[in-house]
Amino acid sequence: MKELNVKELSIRLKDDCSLLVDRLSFRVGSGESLILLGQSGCGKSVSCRAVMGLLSRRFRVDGSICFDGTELRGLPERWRADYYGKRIALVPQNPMTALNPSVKIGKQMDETLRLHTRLGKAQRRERIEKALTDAGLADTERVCASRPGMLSGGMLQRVLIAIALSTDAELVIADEPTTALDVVHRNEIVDVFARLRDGGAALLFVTHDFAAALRLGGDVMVMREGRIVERGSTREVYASPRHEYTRALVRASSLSKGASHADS
Amino acid sequence: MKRYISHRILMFFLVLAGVSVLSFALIGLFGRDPAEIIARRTNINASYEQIEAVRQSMGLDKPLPARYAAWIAGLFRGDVGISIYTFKPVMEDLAQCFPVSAALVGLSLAWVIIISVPVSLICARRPDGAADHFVRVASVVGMSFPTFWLGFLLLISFAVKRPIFTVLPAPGIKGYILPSFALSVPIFSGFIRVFRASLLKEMGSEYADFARARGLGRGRILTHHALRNALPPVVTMLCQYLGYLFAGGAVVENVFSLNGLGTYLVGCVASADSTSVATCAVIVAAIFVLANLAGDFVNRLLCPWTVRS
Repeated sequence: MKELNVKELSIRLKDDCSLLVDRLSFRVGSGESLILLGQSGCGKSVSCRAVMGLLSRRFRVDGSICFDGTELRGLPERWRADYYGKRIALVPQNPMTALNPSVKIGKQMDETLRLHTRLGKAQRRERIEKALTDAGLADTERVCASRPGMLSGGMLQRVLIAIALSTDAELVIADEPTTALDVVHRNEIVDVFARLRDGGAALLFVTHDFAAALRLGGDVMVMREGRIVERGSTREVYASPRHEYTRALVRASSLSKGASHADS
Repeated sequence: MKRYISHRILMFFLVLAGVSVLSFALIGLFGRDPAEIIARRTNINASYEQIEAVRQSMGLDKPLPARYAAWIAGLFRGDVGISIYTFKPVMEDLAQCFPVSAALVGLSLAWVIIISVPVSLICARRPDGAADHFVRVASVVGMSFPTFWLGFLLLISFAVKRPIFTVLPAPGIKGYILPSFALSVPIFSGFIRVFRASLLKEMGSEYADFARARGLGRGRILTHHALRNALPPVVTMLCQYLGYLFAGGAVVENVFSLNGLGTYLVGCVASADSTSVATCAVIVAAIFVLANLAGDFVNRLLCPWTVRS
């Protein structure tokens, strides 16, 4: 079973030695989902970036990030393409800025497939269209011919998911993929991730939205100021939160739920 | 788009009108008396009557606005009269010196592109690496080089000590290699700094991070994604330098004994030749405005989304 195993991950800023993530440990295996829940600035995204090897030299990373028996920390540049994009896919937080504004979406998807597969042009095209359809985009031809600035935030979010789907990644890291979406679109996107997990991929899902976490299910870790304050099954944690901070998150989630019901 | 183009064309003519009035008026009002310069060329002790006779024969006794109007009318006909500096038709002078400047500037820009693009890419490939540190220091030194001194150094090194080139300009492109390189050194030094910064800004963007997350290497991201998006500020800078190079190459032209537009312009200013100065200024201004316009269009073609946003 392929799994991501993070042990004692600590991240600090080299400038002022401030601790951003403190001894974070977790594992997530094939067909499982783990939700990293917490407010903005608690260290969720920086942890994802550490797993993806995207942190600059301004950060000091300690601990172990192991995927399928390979230590990803300090992975040589020439081996990066064997893991990142191919077996480990990231769905970034901001869909509006995650793609090159000057390059057509079809071309950006194609270059990922060309790098990681030996498929011919027609097969790659077919795979791209299937991935876009699976991610919930209908007019795939138009999407491929568009530049990122020509699509809405929701459509771009689905394009990013389609990129993750297209390479059949074994581990998908979704960094707040529902933040910029309304409730209807949020639920649709969460369902796409649930299908991805049910298809056998390991899923690390970062969010500050308890409603999205509940819809996705699986395990949850509640993070505050770089530390895990509570972990368990999403439904259990929501039903009986033990930590004060988790209770506050549940209350906030219930209030927003009430507000959305009142609005509707 | 139509509105933008018509606005830019209107601005083009306004700039040319402004430059022509200013250059003509400034030389006419505050320059030396051209009639006196001409009279004293044949007779160093020329009398007041002789100077006045020259003034009348060359039409310099007419008021400045009338001379300006006559010059503008001549400009449209392609005949702006005789240069006080060379005693030859101005258009004939320009037909001789403009190709020299065009070759010099063209080759200088080629040096700028040939050197600054690969060097900036190498720096951006490994920022803060040994090559990057070296280039950053070298570019400051390059920007600080006075072009005339660099020109002399090049002449001594490659025409005197090792006679690969000749001291007097050789015919053909060979005669332009050293002067164009001397002219381009401060420019490509500045260019490298701007281009490197622009490339690093793009490499620090979220799309470059996501490209890394997709498994793409830094080299590919640099050449296939960041390069194109990093070009607009550099294209703008290149186009702005074009006008400067045409008029500002006088020092290098002098060092390498080239009779280009810069040298001609300096000679005309010294002779209070307002007609020639204004004609040169209009040509340089037209090149400057057209180059900027071309730069704008190139940027719109390169990055339609980033430029628009």
